[in-house]
Amino acid sequence: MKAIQSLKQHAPKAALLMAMAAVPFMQSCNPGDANTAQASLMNSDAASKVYVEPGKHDELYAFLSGGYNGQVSVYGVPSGRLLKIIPVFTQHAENGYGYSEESKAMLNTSFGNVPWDDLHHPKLSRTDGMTDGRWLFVNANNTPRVARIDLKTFETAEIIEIPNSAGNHCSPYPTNNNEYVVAGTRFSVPINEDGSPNEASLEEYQEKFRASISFIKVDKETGDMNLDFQIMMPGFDYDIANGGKGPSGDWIFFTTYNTERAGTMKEIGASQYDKDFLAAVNWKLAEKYVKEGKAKEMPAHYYHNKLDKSSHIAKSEIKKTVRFLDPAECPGMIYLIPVPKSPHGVDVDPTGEYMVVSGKLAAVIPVHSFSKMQKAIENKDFDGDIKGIPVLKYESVLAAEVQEPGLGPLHTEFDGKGNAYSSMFVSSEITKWSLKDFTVKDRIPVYYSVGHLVIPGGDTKEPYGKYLIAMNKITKDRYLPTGPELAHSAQLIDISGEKMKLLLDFPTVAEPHYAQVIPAEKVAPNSVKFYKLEDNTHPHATKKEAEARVEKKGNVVHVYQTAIRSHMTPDNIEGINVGDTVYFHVTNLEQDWDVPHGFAIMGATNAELLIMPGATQTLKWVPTRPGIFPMYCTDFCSALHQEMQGYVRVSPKGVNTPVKFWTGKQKPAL
Amino acid sequence: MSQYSRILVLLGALSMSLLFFFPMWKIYLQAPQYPEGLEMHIWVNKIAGNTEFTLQNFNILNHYIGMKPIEASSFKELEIMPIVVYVLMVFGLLAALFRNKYLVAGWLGLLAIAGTAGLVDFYLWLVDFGTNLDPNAPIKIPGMTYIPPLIGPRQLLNFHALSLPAMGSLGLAIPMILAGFAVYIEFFSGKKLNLNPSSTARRFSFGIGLGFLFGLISLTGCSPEPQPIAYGQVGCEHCKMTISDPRYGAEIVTKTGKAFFFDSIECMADYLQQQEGMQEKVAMLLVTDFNQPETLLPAEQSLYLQSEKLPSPMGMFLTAVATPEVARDFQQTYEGRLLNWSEVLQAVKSHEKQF
Repeated sequence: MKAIQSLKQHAPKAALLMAMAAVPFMQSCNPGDANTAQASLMNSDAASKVYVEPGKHDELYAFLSGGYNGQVSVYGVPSGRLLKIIPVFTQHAENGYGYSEESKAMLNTSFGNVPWDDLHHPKLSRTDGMTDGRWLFVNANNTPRVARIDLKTFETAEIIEIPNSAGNHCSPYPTNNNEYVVAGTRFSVPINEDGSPNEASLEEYQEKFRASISFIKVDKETGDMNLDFQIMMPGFDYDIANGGKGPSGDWIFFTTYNTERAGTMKEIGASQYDKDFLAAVNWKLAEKYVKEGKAKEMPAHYYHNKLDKSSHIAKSEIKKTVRFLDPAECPGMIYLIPVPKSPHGVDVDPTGEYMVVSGKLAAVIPVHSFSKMQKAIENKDFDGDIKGIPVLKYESVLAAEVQEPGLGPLHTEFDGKGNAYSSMFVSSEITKWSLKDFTVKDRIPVYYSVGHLVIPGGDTKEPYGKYLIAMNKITKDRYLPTGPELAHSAQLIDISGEKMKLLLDFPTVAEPHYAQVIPAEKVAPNSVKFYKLEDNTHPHATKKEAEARVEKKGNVVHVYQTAIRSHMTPDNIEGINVGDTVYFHVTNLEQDWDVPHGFAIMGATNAELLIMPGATQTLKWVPTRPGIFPMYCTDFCSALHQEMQGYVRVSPKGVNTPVKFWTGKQKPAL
Repeated sequence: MSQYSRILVLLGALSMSLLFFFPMWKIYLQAPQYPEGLEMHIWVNKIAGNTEFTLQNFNILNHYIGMKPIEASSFKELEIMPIVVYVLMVFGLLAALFRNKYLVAGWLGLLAIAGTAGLVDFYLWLVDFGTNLDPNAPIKIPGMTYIPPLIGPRQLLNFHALSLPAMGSLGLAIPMILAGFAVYIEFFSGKKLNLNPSSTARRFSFGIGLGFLFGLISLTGCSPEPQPIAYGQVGCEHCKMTISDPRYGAEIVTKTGKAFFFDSIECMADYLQQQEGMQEKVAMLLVTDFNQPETLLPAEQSLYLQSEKLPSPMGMFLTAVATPEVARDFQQTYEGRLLNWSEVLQAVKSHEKQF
């Protein structure tokens, strides 16, 4: 009770401070401070700590989500060098992802082909609570989906749509051995168990709107995902989750907001109660209930898209049912723990004992204790229930409150040496505090308004420590100006000593919401250099130049084309008419590292192809006017790359030009 | 014919089987955009490379200068040579079986003819490939030919080529040397030997034979020798990062003399335990003396300090020192714990950090 009172006392103070912090000129009000920060940086050996000699490799891979670009960007740490962009939920004209015939299906959903999404949270696959460098799971926030990226190829291998969900923000959080990857809905929506459309009056929020948490099973060997079951939850908004570790390994914790269940003007409506909840879900028990047959099946309609490894073709499967658990029928599976209102992140410390809840409107950071939670459950220390889910008492679970951490705490990560680091959005700083006495040890300003932060392995049972990356939401004057739209900025901070040290600013792609960082040695040795041509099972692959050909049936034309330094075969094609549907199936015959070939043709209304050695990719082209159309290789493959070009002749509709094709010398028509 | 000559001939005939297990000749090519290098391997019965696609990549590069594609099917020799080798092996075995010194002499003659013919044929092919170029080639440099060296280095446009006999060539060299000794014993000093089997001359000549053999083996570069680590240039075999800190480099030398370099003790230990069959191939495990950068110590005889105050390149805080005295000094300065090599292996395996 005391804690609640102190919270009530602090709340107005916090609000006032936040209003002050929101004054945009706060930074320039205090030029003295900023200058000292810069000066101290100059004296340190920051430069040598982030300098990676030319030709030398970085110590770590960082996978930063791209937010509204629907991609993942891969950086080297500590240099901050951008290594790759992996397209996931968004078409990527640069390499044909989402445009080529092979990859189109990857973006199929029950809403149709969705070419964009908002990618928020990357999470690496785990073995025994540690990152294992095999896969990266990411979520689509807008059209609910979870994707798996294969870290052997750095390609999106699989995307699964999540039914009964709206705004898949609370996603994707793996358990310690990827037994499940969980996904909670940010928006509650009406869910009808007979599968009828989820339309209802918006005024019926309280009665009809519900939430779901999805449990995706991950195959231990292949990584293949499968939606195993869902739990139907009260109609709150589910924000962030994280799995327990060690003693709490069977549990997953979800932050919720809008427990008021307001349907409109949530800015105010969802901020009425003093407390929202942390939902603690025992996934092991849920799995057991499902095995016992407690899950009910309901009709559903969702897509599951998988990339075939040997043909490089994505295929969609439409799923028709989903099973779900009702918490009221599953005792012991879920408990609600009060937390200061509108929390954001929940992070579990490496020992699995503490659940740190960062309430962006709270003046303190509450730390809940797993052992106290278990005791409270044992003693039935409940404060009533919500829809059959017991609510635990705040004080019976609370371990401590971190006092004066800063303003607007969002997320926390750990260094494995007994310290926690929390991002402070409003006061633009990182606060380091101790898990031993829950007091603040150090703070460092960041530029500006940090959202997520990441420590390599900082969400696993044994953090790598050493570095922290702050992902900042506001950039302003940190780089040369580039008009109204600026790159977001990340900052690398050295956390190896007692005091945090700022090492480096680096611009990021779109808006990172979270990141994962992993030692390079767990990923680099497995990186695929090229695909073996003999393993290519693409039905339209052309494995030898001698097999290159053009086949026309009616107005559908298949061009079986090969690319090898420095020519394509065939490079002269005739017999195509306006309005024909032409498929260029281009096989890259190279069998060496880093020799991709590109393919582009004038007037194509989609994109280009970028074909890796040994792979086949297909571009669809419907010529709209007669003429001669050049095509060429777009990737500078060799000294005679510029000569790697050819022509397609397009005749008017109805004109019977015989199909002919050749490279070098003319071949007879088929 | 003496028992000793018979054994020499027998060994010689059997050693010819090396030709089927190892390439006879290797051509190494290096260019800026091929940091990993390309190797062409010439066997008695095939043409291959260091990877399964090397030959294809050779040919793609060569087509720009108009060189004919190198394909196994264009060499009749690859069908004939194995037969010749079999026949010569059988000939040698028969010579040993019948203990006929004239057969041995004949065998030596045939070996010499076959070897010379092989080399001449090889050279003619190199000339043919290097000079018989397609006149329509995209890259033409007046007067330029591309004959790879028969033996030794040569610069060919952007490629640095190096050509050397490989292990398989011992399959011809050993029988020739051994047959040579047998012939010498039988025809020039054989009688003495027969009369007095324990004579020092016999031992002497046998010793020379063996010495020759070992000398030849070390000449072809397969004796295990420590090799200096090219700091800043070579990458760690395990984590692939460039090896830059000269206080921490480590090295595995295999029984065939191949050296693998590592940027840290932990990388070597991890590699050793992860690579299947590696432990059997090891001739030497070497670590760098922290006090004497770039000086290598045998890993099994060194001592290791694991201290939080001495971070090593890959995060296991392992530092190698030469002697127990230095180790104790270090421990006093930096604290932490001392480990021997087998404890290091264990610590790296379980990723154990105790200070």
